[in-house]
Amino acid sequence: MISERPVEISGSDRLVRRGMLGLPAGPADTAVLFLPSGLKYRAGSHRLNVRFARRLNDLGYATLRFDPAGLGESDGHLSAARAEDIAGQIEAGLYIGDIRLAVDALREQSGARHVVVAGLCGGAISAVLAAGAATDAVQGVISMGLPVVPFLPVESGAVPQARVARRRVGNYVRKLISTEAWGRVLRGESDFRGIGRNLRGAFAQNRAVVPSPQSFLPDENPRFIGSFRTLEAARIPHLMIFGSSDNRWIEFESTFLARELSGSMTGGSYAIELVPQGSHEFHFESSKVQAGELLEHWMNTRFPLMAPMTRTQEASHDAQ
Amino acid sequence: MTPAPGFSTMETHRSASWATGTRFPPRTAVTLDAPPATPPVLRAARLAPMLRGFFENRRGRSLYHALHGDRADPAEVWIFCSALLEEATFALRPTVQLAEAFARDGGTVFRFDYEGQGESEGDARRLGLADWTDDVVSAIEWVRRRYGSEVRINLLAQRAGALVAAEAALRGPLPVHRLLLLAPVLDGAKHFDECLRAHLTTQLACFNKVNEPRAVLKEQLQRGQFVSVLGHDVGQALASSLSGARLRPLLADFRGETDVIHLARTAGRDVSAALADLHGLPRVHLHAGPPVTFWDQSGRYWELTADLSAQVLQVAGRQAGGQGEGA
Repeated sequence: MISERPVEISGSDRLVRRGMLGLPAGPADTAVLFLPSGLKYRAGSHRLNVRFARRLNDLGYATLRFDPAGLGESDGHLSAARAEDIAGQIEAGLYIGDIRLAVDALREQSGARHVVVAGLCGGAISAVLAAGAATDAVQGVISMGLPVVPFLPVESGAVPQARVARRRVGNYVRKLISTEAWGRVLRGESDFRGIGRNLRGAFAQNRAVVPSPQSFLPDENPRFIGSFRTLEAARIPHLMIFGSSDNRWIEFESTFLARELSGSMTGGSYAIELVPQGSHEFHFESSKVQAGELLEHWMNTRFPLMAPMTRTQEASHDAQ
Repeated sequence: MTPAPGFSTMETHRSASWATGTRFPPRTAVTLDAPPATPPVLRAARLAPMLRGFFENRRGRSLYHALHGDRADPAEVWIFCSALLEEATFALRPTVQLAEAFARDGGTVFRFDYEGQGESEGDARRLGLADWTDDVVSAIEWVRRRYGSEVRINLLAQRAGALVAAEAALRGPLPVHRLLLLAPVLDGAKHFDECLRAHLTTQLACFNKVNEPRAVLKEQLQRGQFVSVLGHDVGQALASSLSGARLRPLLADFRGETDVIHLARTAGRDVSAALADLHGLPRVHLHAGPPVTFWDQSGRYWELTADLSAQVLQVAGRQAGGQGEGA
């Protein structure tokens, strides 16, 4: 049987956001908010959020799968547009307010003291931005397939980092066998400007650039960097999981990890974990299992389940 | 520079030796104060209330459902039979909006997730089309319990959900009045072949080569192993049932009316050629729809478009007043 129930969360704008609350058999000390991956809905890519949430419920955590406004079953309307335009807005913090609403509702409805925000891709960047803006309300972040390099506006004339561009060009070559891809080319639906940009980037000469901590390059998302620093300063635990075959990992490794973190896979409060040969969305079962185990282990370490006696004792202590 | 509100000014050590391409001269640097590059795309629009919850299918599994429409005793109810696997994930939002358009027009719509799909209970690896056809019957039973056995049941199905809906209409134990099929899969074998092609694409992304060609994947299925289709593990039950399903014979024997709306990738494509397999069938009406492929991962985000919403309502025999995106 399913121990979940639909919930509705209204904002001051009177729009209703919809979600699915999952509660464990006993009281929960920690709750996890799952966000949609990009422009999909709260179930996640191939039900990944459903899978992770129900496993955490079994372990004793509360969960909420949540559709921000304009996605899934929630009120709000996203204009039909290029996906990258909407993604650009998500990377700029479109859903920070909605996530804060959901965090507060989850805490209230589950009775949990700690709330962790989790997501994949667009859900990951939203989780980081929202947590950075609400360090008083969020106690942990799990980001999977985190996009740190923003969509580059065509007008900027900028091209991607060489290693990223080369990987993308490799993808184009592999797609030469795809009739679907050729169909898109013939129909004029391919992003020719993006392809040209990647080709230029792939063959660009590297040269050193002196960074500035207060200004940012077009392949950096200043809002992400600001939020990441805020989370570190506030000592909020942050687990980042990537598939090693994910372009988002290549981008992260080539830019943020190298520049900001000096290549260190663990830091004050953050930890970076790799799923070997995992894709962006952890398509294969082995990748899903590994990502799930990493998530579970981190939760057990950072937010251990309280034994029933301890919980009772603590409640008694709090009452005093 | 003054940081934007809500962002830390903490400085983190950054290596001075990192390198990038030639791409970013310092004058192009942006700051925290930079406004978003694109205008807002989100605007306020309210959906009508929907009744959401779970109901049990005939195998005792909890299936997620949402009921749209506020009529206490509707004469007819449209049950939406969703696409399968990841196509259903992509199509969820326009499907919700289509249900909303029906409801705003006075209609009643019952949406649900098949077992092992969406937010329903279960594991799709051992399920096939027959199980999901049975779930449609469970959905019909739920609707009849709520509104009485006289309520007329219509099925609106998308993509491979059309094969499920047509099977339920033809062979299910409960009467189905009519079918409306949106971009239906005509040939299950071809469709499953495309599913396996998606597996090859994922292999390329992960391993830079195809380790297991389609023939090997089919052998694995026959041995009882599972194959990932865009992250959904499927087994032989789905492989064999989908590969053996064709829409034409199901529609040929169905006694009710069927409307089929073809959605081409490109405007102006000939609906007659695309739906040639359905030519000559009595009680089957073919329609050309707008170029909207909301079930796949294209470069666009699909909300339900006004023209598609209006056409579906019109074909369904409802007034084309709803626009599918709320007030």
